[in-house]
Amino acid sequence: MIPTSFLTAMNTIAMAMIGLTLIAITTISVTTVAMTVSYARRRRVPSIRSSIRSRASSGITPQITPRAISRIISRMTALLAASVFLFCAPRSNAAVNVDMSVSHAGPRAVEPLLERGILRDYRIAWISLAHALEFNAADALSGPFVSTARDTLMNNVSSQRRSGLSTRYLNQNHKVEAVYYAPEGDVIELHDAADYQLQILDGGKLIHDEHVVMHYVVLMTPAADHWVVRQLQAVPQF
Amino acid sequence: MRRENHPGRGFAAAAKAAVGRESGSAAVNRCATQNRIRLAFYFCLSVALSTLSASISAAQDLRAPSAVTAGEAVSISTTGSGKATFYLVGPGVSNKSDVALGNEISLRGQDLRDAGQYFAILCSDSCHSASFFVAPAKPASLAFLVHPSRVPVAASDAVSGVALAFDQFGNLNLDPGTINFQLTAGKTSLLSRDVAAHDGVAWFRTTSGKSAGPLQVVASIGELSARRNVQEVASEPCNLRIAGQRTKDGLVVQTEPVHDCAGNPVPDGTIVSFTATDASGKSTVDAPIKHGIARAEIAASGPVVVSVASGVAMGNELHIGGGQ
Repeated sequence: MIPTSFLTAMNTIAMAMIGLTLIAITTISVTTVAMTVSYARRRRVPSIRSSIRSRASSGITPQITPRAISRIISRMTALLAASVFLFCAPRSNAAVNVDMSVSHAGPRAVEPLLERGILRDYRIAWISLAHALEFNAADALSGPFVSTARDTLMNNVSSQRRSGLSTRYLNQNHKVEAVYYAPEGDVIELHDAADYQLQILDGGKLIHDEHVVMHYVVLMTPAADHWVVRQLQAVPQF
Repeated sequence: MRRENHPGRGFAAAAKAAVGRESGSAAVNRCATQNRIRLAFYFCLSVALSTLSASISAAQDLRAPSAVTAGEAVSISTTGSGKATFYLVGPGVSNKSDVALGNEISLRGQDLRDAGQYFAILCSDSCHSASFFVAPAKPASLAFLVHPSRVPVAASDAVSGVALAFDQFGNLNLDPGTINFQLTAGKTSLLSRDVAAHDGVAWFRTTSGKSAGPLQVVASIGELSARRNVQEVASEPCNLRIAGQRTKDGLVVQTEPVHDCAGNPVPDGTIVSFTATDASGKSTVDAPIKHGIARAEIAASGPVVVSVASGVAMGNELHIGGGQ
């Protein structure tokens, strides 16, 4: 669950930064205009611009010049851009699209709430998988995967560390169909027709780059408050 | 002027000088031509070498195995010559090794334990890849989920089980064949059903037995089997009968031994509700079954009507007069 919480934290921080920056820009702009107008009125100068010009011509440096205002606004804009980038960057890395169909699931029907939960948890599982295998971070696998699926992916990470390899799963699209849902609701089997850009790197060198279409058989079981992937097995076809 | 005076000599000298000038420019031209030829030669040589190297690198190829079973060692044939780096990337494995082109690359069984798609990548000047699938081995264990752990007798579609076959490496066998489910209560066989697995899953659902006690549920495929126990317990009480008598403080009522409709004794702790109605109104006492019987003391005076219920089952009514 580390990647998920990490992404959430990043998004929260970015959102907070965006909000604070917007507030700061608005406040500074309003205050600046108000102060300038107030100053112009005090000096009985017909306009703000002429007020500033008259102060400049009289040799008095104005307290708030247009250049200062533009500098402040440009800095705030840069901060806003950085915040927007911070907000967007994690999401672009974690581009995982999952479509799910449960119409053929049986013998037990999958209710809409459950469907949403499984879709959410399966998507999180793939985000975690991609993160773990790109950065060789085994911790990312602990939450969404258990049993065989977790062991296999852990082996992948440790093997990649030894070999100096990493794997990227980019632009993931998953079309998931629930094919079996147990009578007591303790296991669900999914068929996932996934396509993504698979990149394998040796250090920084790209040794394999291919757009692949994969078929996965997935077993998920309920945990305390979410569903976990117990089996993730690629097959030639369904 | 001198040339004009000796036009022949002057012409010859001029001609000689002209020839000398021509031969000088010819030499320069010849050098330039030689340079051009040399450059063209080097260019052609470099093109030939690059073509040769491209043809050599194109000759590096690898042929992946067509059908692989989990845990089995296989080899990948390569073409070309020289050294290269071989990568095997698949579920649970990301290996890198140096290999000699033209030789076979042996893949150990322990590197192919997980079913799924593997990528074999061979890199020297450029990288070439091939992919292959590893299929699960034969079933070595059964995951068998049975629900519930306790079930009332004669409950419709109350017992269910799901079986999945896995090989010795934990791969899900998607086509294990037919799985047999057997339910036995004591020495009585309640169910024996062969179920063909679809997508690796076989399941059943059935009614529980009629007698309380342990129910053995067995799933088997070939010589593999998995056994689970379900405790069948009595169902709701049936035919509740009560008897009572007046005491100096009120009434004492108790049930006859409580059974379900199949005659199984209802387990101790099951709550039985006694309701007494007299002139002052209704009063209810809940009592747990203890040693098969529920008993309660009710404070009441005058004529009283006592009824009994447990769950959805109602019992008889008991009329006790005021003087009795």
